[in-house]
Amino acid sequence: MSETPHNLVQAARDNDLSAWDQLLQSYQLRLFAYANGLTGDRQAAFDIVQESFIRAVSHLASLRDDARFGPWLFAIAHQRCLLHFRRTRREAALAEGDRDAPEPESGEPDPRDAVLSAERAQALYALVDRLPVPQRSALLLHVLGGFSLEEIAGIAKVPVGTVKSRLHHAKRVLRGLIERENP
Amino acid sequence: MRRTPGDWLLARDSDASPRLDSIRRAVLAPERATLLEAVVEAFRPNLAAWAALALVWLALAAAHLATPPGITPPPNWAGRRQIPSALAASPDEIFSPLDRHS
Repeated sequence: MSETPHNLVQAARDNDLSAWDQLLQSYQLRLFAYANGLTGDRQAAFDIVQESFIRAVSHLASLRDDARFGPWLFAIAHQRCLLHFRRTRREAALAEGDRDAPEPESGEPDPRDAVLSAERAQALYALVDRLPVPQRSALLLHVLGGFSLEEIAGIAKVPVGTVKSRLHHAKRVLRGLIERENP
Repeated sequence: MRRTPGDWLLARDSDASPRLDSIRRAVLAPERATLLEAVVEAFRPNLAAWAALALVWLALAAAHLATPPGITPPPNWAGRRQIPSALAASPDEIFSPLDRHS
């Protein structure tokens, strides 16, 4: 999912508006869902998407690898989310959540492959919203963006091991929901 | 139809698409924004402030309408009402300059 057509990014570098339009359109909903899921503030999420788009358009030259356009765009949005947290004095939320996170286990079911009914989806929303911000960020990037551990680590600017731990915690919470749905 | 968690998380925000489309278009072609869009964009972020102002105006209008009609006019009001009677008393003096030009 994080793959971006090379030619689109290349055309965007040449200021092709149609290419930009296709690129941004393909990411806008996932970007919004990420910002909204992370901040819990719908208006802020719209602002974050807009700021991310503006920054992407004006700073595309700083992207070295065209294939990494998706993670690069999400990294911009992630930084805007952090700014939002600073503005709303919620930095504390960023620090919490890594405590007591157990070491990752192997052979966990991937939440991306699970299926949920509409009823359980409501429970999913509530669960995701209750996750501490670092775990929520990792889970949303994994599930919405389809990013790898390395890509998430690059976006959040943390070591891969930290992402693994955060994702494990989020998956463990989600797994309980999925197991109730698919016994 | 059964969906994955990613599908559900996206579905939760799917109603945001129209506004995201307009944001994208505005970012890519701000010079093409119409006057109407500019006005809407100017008002939308301050919707609460504009609504509060509208409420204040409504309250003022209500207070104005609720004021009893028998309130005494200001002291100079009587003088103003005398002007028409002055005109009626000597209309020739008033209109004579006009007559000279005609």
